[in-house]
Amino acid sequence: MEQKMLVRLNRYIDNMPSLSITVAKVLEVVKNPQVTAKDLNKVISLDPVLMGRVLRLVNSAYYGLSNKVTSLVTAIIMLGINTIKNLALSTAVLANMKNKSQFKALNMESFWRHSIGTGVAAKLIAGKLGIPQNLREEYFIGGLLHDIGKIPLNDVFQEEYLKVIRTSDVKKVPLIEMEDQMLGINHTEVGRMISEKWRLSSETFDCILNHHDTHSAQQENAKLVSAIYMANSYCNLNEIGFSGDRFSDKMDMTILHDTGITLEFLDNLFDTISEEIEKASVFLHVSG
Amino acid sequence: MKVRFWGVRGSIPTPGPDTIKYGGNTTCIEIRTDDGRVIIIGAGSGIRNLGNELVATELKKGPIDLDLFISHTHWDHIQGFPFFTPIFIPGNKIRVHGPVNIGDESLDKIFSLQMSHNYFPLRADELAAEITYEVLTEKVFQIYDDVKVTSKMLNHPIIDLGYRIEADGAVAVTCYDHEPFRNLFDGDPEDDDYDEFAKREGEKAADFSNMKIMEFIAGADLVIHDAQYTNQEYVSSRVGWGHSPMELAMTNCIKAGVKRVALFHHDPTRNDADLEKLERLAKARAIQIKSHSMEVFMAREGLEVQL
Repeated sequence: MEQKMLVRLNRYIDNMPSLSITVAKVLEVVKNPQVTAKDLNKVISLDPVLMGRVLRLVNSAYYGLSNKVTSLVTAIIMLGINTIKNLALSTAVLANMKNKSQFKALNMESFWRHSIGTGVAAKLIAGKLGIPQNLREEYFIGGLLHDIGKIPLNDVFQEEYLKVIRTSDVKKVPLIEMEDQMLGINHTEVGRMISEKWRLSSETFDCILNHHDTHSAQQENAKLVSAIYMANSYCNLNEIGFSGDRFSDKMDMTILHDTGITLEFLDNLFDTISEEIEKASVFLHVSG
Repeated sequence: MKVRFWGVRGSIPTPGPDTIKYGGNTTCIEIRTDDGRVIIIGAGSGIRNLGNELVATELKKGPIDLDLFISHTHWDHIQGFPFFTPIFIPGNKIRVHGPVNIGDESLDKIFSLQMSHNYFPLRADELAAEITYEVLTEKVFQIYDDVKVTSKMLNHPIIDLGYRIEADGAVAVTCYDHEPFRNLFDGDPEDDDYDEFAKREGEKAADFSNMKIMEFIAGADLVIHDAQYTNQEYVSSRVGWGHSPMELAMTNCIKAGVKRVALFHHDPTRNDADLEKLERLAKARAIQIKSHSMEVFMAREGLEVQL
């Protein structure tokens, strides 16, 4: 990708707004003088950009933590309600200010459904993998953020990205290959740029960078990245939301085999995932 | 190392006949190393008097060169800066260090804002001294060769740092503005939104964060600790305001092996008589808690402590 284009991407990432779909609810929540940590936790966990910015803030303000903070609950305690509130407000306000063009290659609501769906699926897979409860949030976050690299591509290179998605559709080729061919960069690499700027944990970084290429994940994150791969693949194949991948590859059976997850188990997830997305959808519509 | 208090009040300056003893200026602390270097913590209104003294006594030796650490950008901790005379004198070098908030602002913009046209007759870019701004997060670093500074995240409604200064074989720590961390996800199993997982996670996070604060103040010769409220005031209506009950400040300092604690950031509603009474109570309480030898006092303007 040309240097000029990289500069534009970087600039966008520095001021990335929250998803338009969550803005109204975020503003409603933060404007409530009696806002609680639970309210903030709920709304932030539904917006990948907000989630990422909170994690970025806590991990850059604190130093010498033996492990990066990967739990939103922990981040809210360490930063406090007021700081979190103001961060959410400024991110949501940015969203309102940005180019209000409705034209987007990727529809944001569908993208959001795919992100939440992948997060929920990953967390359920974690349960099946025997991951202790207190570590499952990492799976949710990995799923929520895995495609975050598509947001800058979608917003900064609107026309080009539309071409990428259409061509991938017409040629029946995975989106990531088309991104590489037509843009010279793919969403996992843009995701890497975001992860570095936001100082995300190495686990989340791995999910974002390697959810299409699990063999490149670090050994200690093998289960996590495989779970994200399976969750992402499942959501694509079952059209839970839409993240540009109409013709993703069939699920790699060796990964299922290696993790002990069966297709049956995945199929049983469909209803739970749909319910969670509906609940979140209802929550995000401003009351009254 | 010498520590001198130039402003001990929180929120807003409180001049008047009732606050003469402890002082009405907002927070400013001067630390002077044995070889005469000046470190200032806080640019509340107390920094004005400090600045005038520096000009009167230091300028003749040569340009003033110092480090100013800001705990956070709430107004009571930066409001004195436009009246700190050394900033107007060419040749002086002032290095300002402090946190910003959502991570994207610049410290110099925040400072310049209070000197913008609507608020002040001079703009920040008209200042004659050489002023640099460093954004701080938690960090351990040296200033000069032999002064070690550790900055630590505290708990307040804005990003806020305490400073541990180690020099001349002594340790002074500022721990304000600060409120003990607590589990914001606590709740009753009967509540609609009860989440046991979040409650446990929250408990762990609060305990861990409080433990880090104990480590931060451990063994210090002097801790200057937020003590804005009594426990009763705190518990009745000031939880979440970002300040500490003085009883807990004392208990924590005793547990951490601190040698002296200065109770600091006095509430603007307290006059000298109130503070005298609270100081007596604090000292009596310290005596009651046996098996320690920690000295406790209410910080007051003009007080100098040799460490």
